[in-house]
Order: sequence, then structure tokens, then C-alpha cells
Amino acid sequence: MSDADASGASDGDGSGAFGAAIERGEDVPLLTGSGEYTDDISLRGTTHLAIRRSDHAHARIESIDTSDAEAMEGVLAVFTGEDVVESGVPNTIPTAWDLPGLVQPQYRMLATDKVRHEGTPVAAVVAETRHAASDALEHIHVEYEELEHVTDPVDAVERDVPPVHDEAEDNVAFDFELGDADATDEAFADADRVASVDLRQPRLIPNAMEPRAALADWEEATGKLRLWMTSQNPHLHRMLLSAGTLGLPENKIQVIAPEVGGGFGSKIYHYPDEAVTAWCSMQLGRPVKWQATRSESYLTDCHGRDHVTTGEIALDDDGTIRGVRVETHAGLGAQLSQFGTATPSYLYATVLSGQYTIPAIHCRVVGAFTNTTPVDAYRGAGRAEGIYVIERLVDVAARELEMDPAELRRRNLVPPDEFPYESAAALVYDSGEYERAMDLALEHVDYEELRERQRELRDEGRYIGIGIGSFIESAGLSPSGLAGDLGAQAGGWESSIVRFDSTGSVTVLAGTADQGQGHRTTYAQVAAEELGVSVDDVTVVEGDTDRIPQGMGTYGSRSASVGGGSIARGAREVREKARRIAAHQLETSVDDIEFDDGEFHVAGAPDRSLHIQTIAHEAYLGHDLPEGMDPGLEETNFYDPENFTYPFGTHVAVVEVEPETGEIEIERYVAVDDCGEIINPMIVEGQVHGGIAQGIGAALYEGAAYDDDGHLRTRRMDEYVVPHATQLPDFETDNTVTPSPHNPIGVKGVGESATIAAAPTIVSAVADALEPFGVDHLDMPITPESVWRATGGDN
Amino acid sequence: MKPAQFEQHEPQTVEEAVSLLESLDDRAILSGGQSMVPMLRFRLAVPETVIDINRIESLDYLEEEDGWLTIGALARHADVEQSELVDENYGSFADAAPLVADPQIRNRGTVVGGVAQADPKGDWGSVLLAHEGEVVAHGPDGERVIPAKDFFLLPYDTTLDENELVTEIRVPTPEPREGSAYHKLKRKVGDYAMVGSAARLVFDEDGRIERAGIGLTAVDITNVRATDAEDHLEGERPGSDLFKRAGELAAEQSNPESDEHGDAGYKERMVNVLTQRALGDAAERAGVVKRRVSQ
Repeated sequence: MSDADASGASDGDGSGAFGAAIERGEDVPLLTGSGEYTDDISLRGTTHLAIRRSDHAHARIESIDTSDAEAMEGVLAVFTGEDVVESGVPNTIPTAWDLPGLVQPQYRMLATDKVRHEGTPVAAVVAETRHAASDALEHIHVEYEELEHVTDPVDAVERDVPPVHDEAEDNVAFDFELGDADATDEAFADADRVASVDLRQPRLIPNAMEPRAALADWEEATGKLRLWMTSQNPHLHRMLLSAGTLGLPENKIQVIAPEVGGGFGSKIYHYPDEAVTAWCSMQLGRPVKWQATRSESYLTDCHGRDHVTTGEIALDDDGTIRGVRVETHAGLGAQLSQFGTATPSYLYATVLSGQYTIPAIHCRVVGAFTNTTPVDAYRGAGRAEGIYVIERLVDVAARELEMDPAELRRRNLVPPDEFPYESAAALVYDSGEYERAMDLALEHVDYEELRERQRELRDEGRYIGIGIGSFIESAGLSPSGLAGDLGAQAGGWESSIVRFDSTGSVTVLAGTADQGQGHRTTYAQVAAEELGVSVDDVTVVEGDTDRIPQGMGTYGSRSASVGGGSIARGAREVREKARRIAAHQLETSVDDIEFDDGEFHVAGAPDRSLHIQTIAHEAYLGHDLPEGMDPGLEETNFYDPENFTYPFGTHVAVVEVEPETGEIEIERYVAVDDCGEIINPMIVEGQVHGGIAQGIGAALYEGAAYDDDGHLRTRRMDEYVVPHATQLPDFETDNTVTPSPHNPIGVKGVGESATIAAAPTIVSAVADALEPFGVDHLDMPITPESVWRATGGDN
Repeated sequence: MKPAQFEQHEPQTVEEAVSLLESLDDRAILSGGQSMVPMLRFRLAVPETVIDINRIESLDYLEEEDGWLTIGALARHADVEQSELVDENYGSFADAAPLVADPQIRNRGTVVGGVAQADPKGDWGSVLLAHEGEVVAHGPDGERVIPAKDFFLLPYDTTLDENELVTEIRVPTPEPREGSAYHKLKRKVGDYAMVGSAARLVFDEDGRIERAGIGLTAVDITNVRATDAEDHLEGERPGSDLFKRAGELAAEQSNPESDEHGDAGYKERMVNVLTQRALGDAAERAGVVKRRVSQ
């Protein structure tokens, strides 16, 4: 992004704020260290919590002896699950998404009977210092009776293993179906060809830069709990703490999310740890702080993915896709996290049509309990898994038909005049020009010439591969009614307040919660554009349930479309009220008032004008307002969109594999994204960069694994491979813009797009490179060893 | 995890450090902290006392002296990485330095610390073995010189006496027709080696290999020499067939274990591949073979 682009933005009036590559206002405090994270906050008399966790994957707790730990210097109290039960709090971590026939086992803050995965919290130590609390952990003596465990979602269901929960004897939490099975069978029977792929999508560990943390302050005198925590959705956490774990009235809980260092989904959820922190403060009447270590993050932050899938695709010889059939076993982990049920069901199966017109789709998902860390939404959640399946199927089918994979895609793309497009997987796509984005991506790499070069290099014994990933994302899960029909226990709306202060500055209170997305910048741009003020005049406040009346939070690529949509609507209401005041004071009718660059003026008499910031002052003076108008200039908005939005795009990767060692070099990575209207191109580009990095991570490096004892084998950063910046290629990004007709500002969202696109794109490229070796698919993460084996290196 | 409590001493001289080693029982030596700090954090090491040697300024050097390249105990990986001396004459050191850990760690971690840690996945042990280098230690009885081949015993265990401090490693300055190289395979920047191979070749005037040294990383309980391959090379003229056979012999002599980054069969094959590549580069740098056709 050039300086010229960046400087064009803040020209003192609102016009042009939307769409400008303004530098992120949040970066200076974050980069200079003045930004305040949960662990930076200290209250007088703060105590420190450390949590003793299960070393076993599956065991019955026989006894817990806390006496040695209690006797240690600096230790204030040691609590067990029984203590929490005896305190009488509701002690229930609820699921937030119901499915037909769902088995919902008890999920307590601290285990009382069994531990069901390594890392299950069993006891809590509160001490005067963090070190004293840590030191005491090993002096808590827990006797276990070990039980047989299962970590694989297929084994859990198919093999004769003891159940993770007695309520689910076969370890099946749900057996979900979507689509028309009969129509799909018929399509397969009629089609000329069928191609299939068996694949695994390994568990991923989110690795937010800031591990989870909480600081709780219970005030006995008022019965009020203040809880600072690493949250993507403070209001949701407040609701779950109130109704689920602590039983306090919602208006007696204040959840504050200060600076939050990344989430990728992992900070959506209500985990035991933050509730235990609050509960300990309520027991001791002192502030209690808990800061997860990186090791705890690996064991307890909800993991992502964990799918085992058989996918089939039916086509005619001319490449027309007739049907898709998918069967997946999804590992849910040992407990149902809030959206652990939604992610592998609705968020997954509904995108299996991808960018293509597919007349018949059927998907079955068996959700399995396993003795592992709970699995929930991780950047791309469900959509990433679904797009991966359809993109692998299209590639495998192209190989089967001996057709160019770009050409096969092109023949099946939903054409622009088919929108809104109702897919066979129950979604109605809003808008899209899929071929335009695909063509642009292919042009960037000079596709035809690249294929020629590939042929030439193969003759020299060099193997490059060209991977294509065409995707859609269903973003901004709403409207609430639809989400409710599908089982959601929460709404899909967003809320905000847009407020002119009396001297003309603007405060925006937003119910979403930034963890790095840049809301303070982009929301200010949205408000400034609508109100005709400078971006610098707008301050955005998020992350405090006592300051922001309501909100749903930040996840599912929803903030720009649903949160931004709410702000735009609220700002428009504010502007209209200001217009009425202007008309009154300029002594003309409202219809005669024009608005331009923050200035209301009488049509045909530009010198008779009032600036919106002057009107703000008038609105608070209240001396001269239209008859019957209340003073003040602010609006509270609730926005419930009429549909999801559907970002889309095509990514193309060029890789070279070296058969001798199996090493993979990414030569080029081109991303063409269409996220609708773009509020800030620099921020969109940043989201795409980060998303690609995580998608490449999944494709080539990451992948959590459990050993035979049910212990997480990839439990540290040197065992779980997150790629470094130097291992990533230069990203070449571009955009097409197809506005979403659904929301007031035409945006679609971009938070997850690139993660969804990058994994199938890279796998496609490696598989393409390995075509001469007869390889059409390798499971993620594709390691040098797996490539080396695939090329016959071990023969 | 957080470290358990410990006391910290900061000696200013080697003698002071050695007398602390003598007088204290349960102690650990801290130089760059590359391995020690994580071990303390994970409580894999729970010493009562940490002897921080970073104040011993006399140990901060990297220089050629009396026919040796000498690297003092406070020379950081970054010092090697940025040294023109190393860049010009010590190919294996120049190859290895930027492959150790990541830039932040290289600014703190020391070469000598890496050798003394005796982690079989460490890079410097292999380079030292390939060069037939030496380890210099100071103890209550003064200085002792230990040939690299006699230094490594077990993972994290060496022939160092209990009260000795490693103060230097050194390798002979290059002979007229000498070249060396290091190749390393790892999953990501900052990782330990999955497999590494260091090679040093010295040629006679006829262009035959007079001496060969090969050190291997992460494929046995210590950094090891591939002696069968070395023997096979000596007296021969360089060539791809010769190096191929040497690679095979090195692989045969290695004993890698399977782990999450790769299985033993793959690693053994990589010993072969990387050893061939290191030998090829070493021969080229010695100036006795032409530049290989680029890959």
C-alpha cells in the first residue's frame, strides 16, 4: 500500500473515509507497549490462581489431597470440584447450539468424578504470588483410577471402547444429515463418472499470541463481579457466566475485554478457567488473577477441525457436476464447547456446494466424543473444512476426467445472473462474480504459460505444481430467526450506539470485540463517512459490558458486515435527526436540506448552511430544537441482517517439490478476494495475509496429535509447527468488488476467507506437482517425509 | 510453567566461576540461556543456584590465533554469523550459524554453550567433529584440552569434570586445499535439526582427499562422526559416485529415531542426501571441483 493511498484518507471531512487505506489507529499503543492487556492490570490486593490439571486422558478421580499445598507459604486456598458443587452455584458450562438428538453431558467448572481429557481442571490454588500458586500445584495429591481412552473420532464410534460419557454409550453426540439423500443417490446413479477422496483434516491449535487470562474482582458489599478477560464477546460471556456457571444476575456482572491479543475463535468460548477465577474471587473476597501459560493454552484452548471424511463427486463426461456425497466423523473432544456442535454440522455441510451449481448434495456428520481437548470453531470454522472437501473433490475429479482443473471449475461456477442462488446445501448466496475473480487470479500467474513451463520442467526432472482454491464463505451468521431455526441459543444481530458528543466529536460504542482486526479504525471510517466528519473525530469503544449496552461479539467474519452495518444504520439515524434540526434552524423544510461533507445547506443556497458538529452542540444545548424533539444526538441500533453474506474468491499457488528430500517451496501465492465493499484496503490486505499464513500452516506444518497414552504429543511450540514469516512466500493480493445487497454498506467480511482458501490451494498445488507420481491427494499437514514417500523415495 | 526459585551468582573471572563450581553443589551454568532458560521454565532443571557467566568479559572472542580458530564461551551465534573471518574461511561455520534457532536466540545463545549442552540435535557439535576440533575447559587444576571426538558421551552428558567450565572451542585454521559445509533439514525456522550433516575435506596436491571429517546431527545419542564414510573418502578423488557411497555409509552408521517430524527411515535417507550435498559443497569450496550445476 503506497503512502499516497494512506494520505488520501484524513482530509478533514467524512467523504472518502470509507475505502481509504488509513493506518490503524490501534497500532501505536500496541507497538509502543502502552496497550493494556488483562495481565497488565493490577488491583490492590490481587491474588493469583493456578490450576491443577489432569495428566490423564481418561480417569476416575479417587481422591484429592490438598493439605500439603494448603500448608505452603503464601497459599491462601486450594479448591476442588466438590467445593464448587457445595457453593451452590449453577456450575454448568452450557452448549450454545442444539441439534436434533444431541447428547449434552454435564460440563462442570472443576471435575468431580472423572477427568475426560489431559488438561481437565481438577483443583485451583490461590496464592499471594503467581510463583507460590505455581509451586503449590505439584503438592496437590490426586489419586486416579486410569480408564481406557480414545482420541480418534472414528475409533470412538466404531471400536468397542468405554464411553467418554455414560450418556453416550457409542460416543455419538449427534448424527447430523443435510441435503437430499435420495436425489443424491439418483444423481450418482445417472452420472457418467464418480470420483472420491478419503481425507483427514487434522486438529489445529489456535496459538493466539496472548494466552487466555482473567482478573476477577468480587465486591461483596454490592454483590457485583467485575471480570477482565480475554474475550471475543464480552456480552456473550456475561450471559453464559450468569445463566450457566455463576448464577449471578446479568446486571451484577461486568465483563471487560481490554486489549486482546488474537483469538481466531479460541476466545469465543466459556471455559472453566475464567469461571473458576471469578468463583475464587467470590470465595475469598479478593481480586484473583489467572494467566494461562502457553502450555495451558495448548492443552485447553479449544482446538479446531479434526475431521475424517469420505467425499464423492458424480460428474458427466463433459465435466458437469451432478452430485456430491460426504460422510464425516468429527471429533468434538471430551466436552461440548458452545459452538462445537454447530461448527462441524451447519457451518460445514452448508458450504459443500462451494462456488458450483450442484443439483444434489447429501452430507452426514457423526459428532464423536473423544478423550481430547474440546474442539470448536477455529478461523474458517466449518466453512474451511467444507470448502476443503469440495475443492479436493473437484481436483480429484479433474484428474479422473483428464480435464484441466481450472476448466472443470469454470464449467460449474454459479453464473452471475443466477443470484440470489439457492444451493442444494440449504444456503441462498447473496451475490458473486466467481469467474471474474478466478480469471483475475489465473491472469496473475499467467496460467497457460505456467502449465507449459510445468511440462518443460517435468522433462528436466523438476516438479512444480499449480494449485487452485475457489471458495465461498458464509459469513455473519444471521438473521437471528434463521440461526434459531438451526439450533442457535443466541441471536445473530449486532448492536451499537453512535453518539455525537456536545462539542462535536463522535463516540461509537460497538458490541463486537476486537482482537486485532482493527475495529477502532474501520468503524471510525464507517461512522465518519455517514456523518461527514473526520475519522480522527471518531472514537470507537468496545469490550466493556457496563459501557456498551448490548452486543454479540466478533467471530465468523461478522464484525464488518453486522457490526459495521449496525453503526452505519445508527449513524444514518443520527444524521437524519441532525437534518431535522438543521431544517428547523435554517427555517426551511427537511426536504430542502442537502448534506455534503458534513454540511447541511439549503438547496440552491449553499451559503445558508450548518455543520453537523455545530448541530451536535445545538442538540445538547436544547435551546432551539424542532417542536416536540428530545435533546441529544445519539442512536442505539440493533441490526439483524436479512441473510448471511458470501465472500468469495480464488487463490492460486505455485509450488516446487524436491523429490530427493520431499521439501516444498512455495514459489508464488496469488490471492484474489471479493469481500464486497472494502472499508480499508490495508486492513483487508492484512487479514488476507494472516489468513493465508494460517492456511499454509494447516496445509504444510501444523496438525496436533495425541500419543498412545492420550497425551497431546504436540504440546509446545517446538513440537507443534507454526510457520515463521520467513517460511512464507510473498503474498500477491488483489480484489474484485461485488457488493453484498444484504447490508447497508455492501460489505461481506474478510476475516476468515484466506484461511479457508489457502489450505485447499496449497494441497492442490502439491498434489498437482506430484501428478507424475500418480498422487492425487496427500493429507495435511503435508510434510517433507510424506512427499518423499509419495514420490517413491523410500523404494 | 514458571521456574522454581534459585539463587544467581555472577562471577567476573574464570577463576571465580570455577571456585563457585567447587563450592556449590546444586548449580547450573547460564551463558546465553538458549537451552537453560526453557529448562528452568519447564522445571526440567531445578538447580538451587545459577552461575551466570555473562560478566566474564575475557571469554568474549572469536579470532584466529596460533593455527586455530578460537571461539570463546561468550561468543554468540550471531557473532559467528556476522564474522567476515568465518565467512571467508570456514564454510561449515558460515552455513550453520544462520540455521541455528532464530535471530533473537542467535543474539543471545552461544556456540560454546551449544557444544557444552551436548544436545544431539545441536548443530555445533557436528561442525566441531567434522573439523576435528577441540574443547577447552577450565577446572580447579587449570586448563584442559579435550578433542571433540572424546567430548560427547550421552544426550546432555559429556566427559567434562564436575567442576570444569568450558571456556572455548577451537578448530584448526584451514589448510591450503580445504573446504567445509553444513546442511540441515528442519520443519521450520528456529527448529532443531531433523537431520544435519557437516563435512570437511582436505585435499592433497594431486587433488585426492587427504582427510575427511563428517559430523552428524540429531541421528544418534550424541553428535557423531560418520567414520566409515570418512575412511571411504580418504585417498580418493572427489566425484558424485564417491560421495554417493559416502552418503550411504553415513546413513548406515546413523541411528535416528522416529518422531513427529519424520520417521527413522526417512531421516536415514536424509543423512545420505545431506551428507552428499555437504561433501559436494566442501569439495567445491576447497577449489578442487567445479561449481556444481545448480539444483
